[in-house]
Amino acid sequence: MESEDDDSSNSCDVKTIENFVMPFVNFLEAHNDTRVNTHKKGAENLHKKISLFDKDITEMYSGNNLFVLSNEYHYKTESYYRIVLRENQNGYKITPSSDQILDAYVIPICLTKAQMAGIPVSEWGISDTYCPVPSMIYGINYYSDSSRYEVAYDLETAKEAIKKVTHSGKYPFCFQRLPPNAEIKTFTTLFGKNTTTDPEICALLKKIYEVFEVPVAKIILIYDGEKYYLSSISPIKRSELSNDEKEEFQTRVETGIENGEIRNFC
Amino acid sequence: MGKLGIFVDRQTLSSSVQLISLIKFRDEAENMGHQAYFIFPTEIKKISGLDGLFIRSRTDSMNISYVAARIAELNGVPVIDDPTSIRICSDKVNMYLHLMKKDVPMPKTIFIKKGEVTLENLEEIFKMFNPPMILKEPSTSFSARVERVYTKEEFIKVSRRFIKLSDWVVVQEYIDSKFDWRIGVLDGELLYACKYIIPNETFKIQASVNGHLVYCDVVSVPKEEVPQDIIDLGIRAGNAIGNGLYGVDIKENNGSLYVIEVNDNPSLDGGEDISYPDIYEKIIGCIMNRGKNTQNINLSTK
Repeated sequence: MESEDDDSSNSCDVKTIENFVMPFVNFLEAHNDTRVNTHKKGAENLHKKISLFDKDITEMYSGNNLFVLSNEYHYKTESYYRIVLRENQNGYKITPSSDQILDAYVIPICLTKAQMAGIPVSEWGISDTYCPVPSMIYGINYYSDSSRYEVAYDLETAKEAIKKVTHSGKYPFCFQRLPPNAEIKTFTTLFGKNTTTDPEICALLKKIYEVFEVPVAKIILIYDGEKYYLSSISPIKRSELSNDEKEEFQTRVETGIENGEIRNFC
Repeated sequence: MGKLGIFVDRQTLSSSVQLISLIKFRDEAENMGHQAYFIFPTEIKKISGLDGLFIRSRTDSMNISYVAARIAELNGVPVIDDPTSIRICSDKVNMYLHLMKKDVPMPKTIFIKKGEVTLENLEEIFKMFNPPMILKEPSTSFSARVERVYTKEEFIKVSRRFIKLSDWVVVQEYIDSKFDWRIGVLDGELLYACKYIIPNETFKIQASVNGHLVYCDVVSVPKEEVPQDIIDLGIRAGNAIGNGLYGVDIKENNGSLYVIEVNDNPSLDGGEDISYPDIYEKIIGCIMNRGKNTQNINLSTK
């Protein structure tokens, strides 16, 4: 093992970040907690290009909070591990935290937490064989992705959908009952904001952000013609963003950089 | 006295050894005056009505056992394994970072990232480690996706396979030993100790050799025969994760001790309890007392 002395020499913010472009993640980086007073200088020196999505991970400081911005926080991805690494360093409250990500991305936990916070969700349950129809169906397993769902319209499509999400019956699944004539709508959000002007949706997206604190997310809602229900929170693909959304997200990041809040690793 | 849930799934019940262990656990809970229920994945909404929950299915942050643990926690139901312990221990990167943070002695370890497996980087890594070295896919359990590599070619082959499953992979110094100490820790105290005798055919406690599964032998060791430094290190490693139930694997080599892993949801059905007949009673007591303590806090704050 390397000595603690090596770690103490690594007290400058800029050096810390340079360690990230080393060929491997040096475990001593985990001990470094001396960035509190130096991050603004680091941001100025290290910013290379403004890009929030795909392979880039942006870190934004705001007071005692460190926001790790990425379009993809899925378990065991680079962004997830950046968060886990930061959680094991001292000094900042990390948003989103690794537990917040799992709360958001693992569907039954997401629905339970939303219900407890007063966010409307459709009738849901966990099963391994049967679901009421029509329903949305999500997998609960190592390979599941909260952006992927199947819709079971009738018993025939339910059979196929269940087979698909359960890996032929190996794992359980989560169903959400669809009200008659329901529509499934998708919104992308940055800090709980979206370009939509509908006040009901704006209030719901804001509430979802307050509860789950995932700064960049795709939110899938069920609409029954009168009311919106949360169905899932998931990563966003760059191709899923409208030009307006890209522009607004970019503006928010640029403002963060001007304020000295943002560091960008490209 | 209260309602204790034992969360199980089909895989747990498919093994007769595990089934016997579960029935023993249920009987012990009933002997202590509790009502014990097996809770299956489709019954997860019943968790909110329990006074305690014991998870006995394979844990991973993405599977149903984590859902059960987290739903228990959200409803204020004491649970072992708690979701934080599952999240940390079922991901070796997170687990090792917690051990490093608390300066727990462990083999030299680095994490290699997706895109970093290049010949140039391997030169540097092979200088850092004397081969062989161990590669681990972070969500390994029961020694699956743990491989020993001697050459750069093997390193590339194995790491590329693991990187398909995880953006970071663990690279670790190989520590040779004939056995692993397994120290069971509950709520910061020794629960049991045993030795896992590594089969001659492999370096792991469980492996597939020529198409046949080989398992380690389990030798339960009474507390008075366990060196105090082993007990202390096991407890220290457990405390680096939390206050739940852990199985800490320790290797001894050339007079030095190394924590190899801290496992949540440790196996209790392989003979680990032979010298410790009160394991189940202690686990049940710990879960149900946490419930009482929570109730007392709630009452005193009302």
